[in-house]
Amino acid sequence: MNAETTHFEPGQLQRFLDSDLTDAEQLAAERHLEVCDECRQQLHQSAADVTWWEDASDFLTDDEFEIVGTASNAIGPTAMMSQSRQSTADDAEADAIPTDIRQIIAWLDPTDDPAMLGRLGGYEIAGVVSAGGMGVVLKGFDRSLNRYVAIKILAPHLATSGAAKKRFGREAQAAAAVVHDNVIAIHGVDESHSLPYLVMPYLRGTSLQRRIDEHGALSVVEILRLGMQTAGGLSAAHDQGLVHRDVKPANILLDGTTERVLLTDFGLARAADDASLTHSGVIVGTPYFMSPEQAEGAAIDHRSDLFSLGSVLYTMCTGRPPFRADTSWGILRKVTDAQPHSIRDLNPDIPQWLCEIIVRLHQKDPANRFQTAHEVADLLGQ
Amino acid sequence: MDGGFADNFFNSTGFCVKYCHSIRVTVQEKDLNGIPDTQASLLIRVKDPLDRDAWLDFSDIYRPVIYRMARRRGLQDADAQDLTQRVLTSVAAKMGDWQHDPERGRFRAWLSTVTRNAIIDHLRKVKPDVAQGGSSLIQQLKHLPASDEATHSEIQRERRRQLFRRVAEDIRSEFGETTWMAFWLTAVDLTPVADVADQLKRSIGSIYAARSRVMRRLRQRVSELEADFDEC
Repeated sequence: MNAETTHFEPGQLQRFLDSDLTDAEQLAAERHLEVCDECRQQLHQSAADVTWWEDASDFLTDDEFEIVGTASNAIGPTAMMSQSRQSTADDAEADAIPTDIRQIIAWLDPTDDPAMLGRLGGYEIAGVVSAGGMGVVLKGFDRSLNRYVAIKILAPHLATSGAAKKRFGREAQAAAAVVHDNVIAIHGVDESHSLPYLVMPYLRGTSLQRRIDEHGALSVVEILRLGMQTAGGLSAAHDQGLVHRDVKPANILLDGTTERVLLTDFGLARAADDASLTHSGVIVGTPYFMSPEQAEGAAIDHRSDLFSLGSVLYTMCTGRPPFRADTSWGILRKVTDAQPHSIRDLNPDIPQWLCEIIVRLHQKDPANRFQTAHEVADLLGQ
Repeated sequence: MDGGFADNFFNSTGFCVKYCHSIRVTVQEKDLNGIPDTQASLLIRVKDPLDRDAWLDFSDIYRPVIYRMARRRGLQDADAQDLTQRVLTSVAAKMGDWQHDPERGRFRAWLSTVTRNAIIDHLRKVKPDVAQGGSSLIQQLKHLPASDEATHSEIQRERRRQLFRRVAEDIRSEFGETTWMAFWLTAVDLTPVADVADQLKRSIGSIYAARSRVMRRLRQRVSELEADFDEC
């Protein structure tokens, strides 16, 4: 029998699918499939028609709406995939790597350096630091300057939104123009294979969020020091006409040894808004530190950041955010309508005058707040 | 790699990583039977042990269906979980109305109808009562409501997604490692067959054979289950 030219007979196709052929027949059939597109199509068709094939790919791939916490989730298709990958030796490295990160790695340019994952622009990529809803952070090495950098890439699914991409670039450029001790430096903004990314110093340290999670409320001296630096960083950005929009403890980094405050992610919340409006309908971010005008969708200016700063100070004082509820809606409603619980009830060590500063920052009407971050920085620095 | 700094740094734009996590924990806590406690509390409403198994099976399929539909309408994780729970609670509450029938499939069909109505009912209420104006996050939630027809077909498609996943889990063990990989890499990840043949060190023909065999099995099992869940 000539494998190249002999097509499947109707019954044979069925028996082939049933693995019901002799070894010789089986081998011949497989050899025929090597070359015959017609029989491949027939085989596919008799396994399941085309909508099934489309559905399989669509349904078995994880998307952005995976529910967490159901029994079936623990052994979902992705987990099945990693299990099956474990057995192939040359894939062992890829085991623990989630799909979105694999995508990013696949999209890097090849490198000559075996210790590196790939190249991006002028950087050798040493590893993946983290991944989240908005993108991936890579650890890169800049050969020309002999230093490590953190490279933040807009997630491919967000990059399909032109508005988000433009915004990402524009806000990053604006943030790059802010030079201040308490604002993270941006080495550069660029684009590779039409995914925008920004390059920042790679630092060791923690964030205010983690600090509060681990140690609870901070001492008054610490609150004043970190609060003053945060307000200082904000005022430098505001002077450039840049509103942060997402001031929260997770965006306040504490540099390794000195614990100097470094504000990060200026304006990126806005890029995410654009993407979610045009792409997925998902709200990015947590509303705990939003201002009332943000919650209501009203126009915002730099004074929105001051409300958020008030919430950050409150969290440093008490170890918990001021407006809390079980659902995002509940939180938003409290942000717009409710007064937070008195700080001194929760932590009597906080002096009254500091509480008053926070109350002033928490005014629902921006006109009743402090008007500039400078003022707040000065007050906290006294 | 020491990523302490950068972890947080990234999370700052990630999807409410910190706080959603704490909300999720309550959903993930398990009782002694390994059932997440929210499901366990729903189970208490279901008196008949036979029905309990059926209910578990059933809510496993529908929970992600409802959650996805809620997320797609702009709800955040916690709110979507919450809505899912409310829909399932309302369905569980109706289970007492069920007249026992020896045929288990009928129970599912009846439950599917009840659930469909509950989903349509609850999703219709997804209209936040917040201030008008602006182009905010909140605005996008005020999308035009879908027709009940459209919602119905969305439910069916989402349920089909869950059935695919359930079946893929179930039949996974019926196939050898390489066969399953051949299917997954080519049919799900859409990697070209030639590349997968290379990677798995198999002939192209055997990759075609493997993926088709898995697909046929998948189709058979999903079709059976789907008929079972079809509404009356």
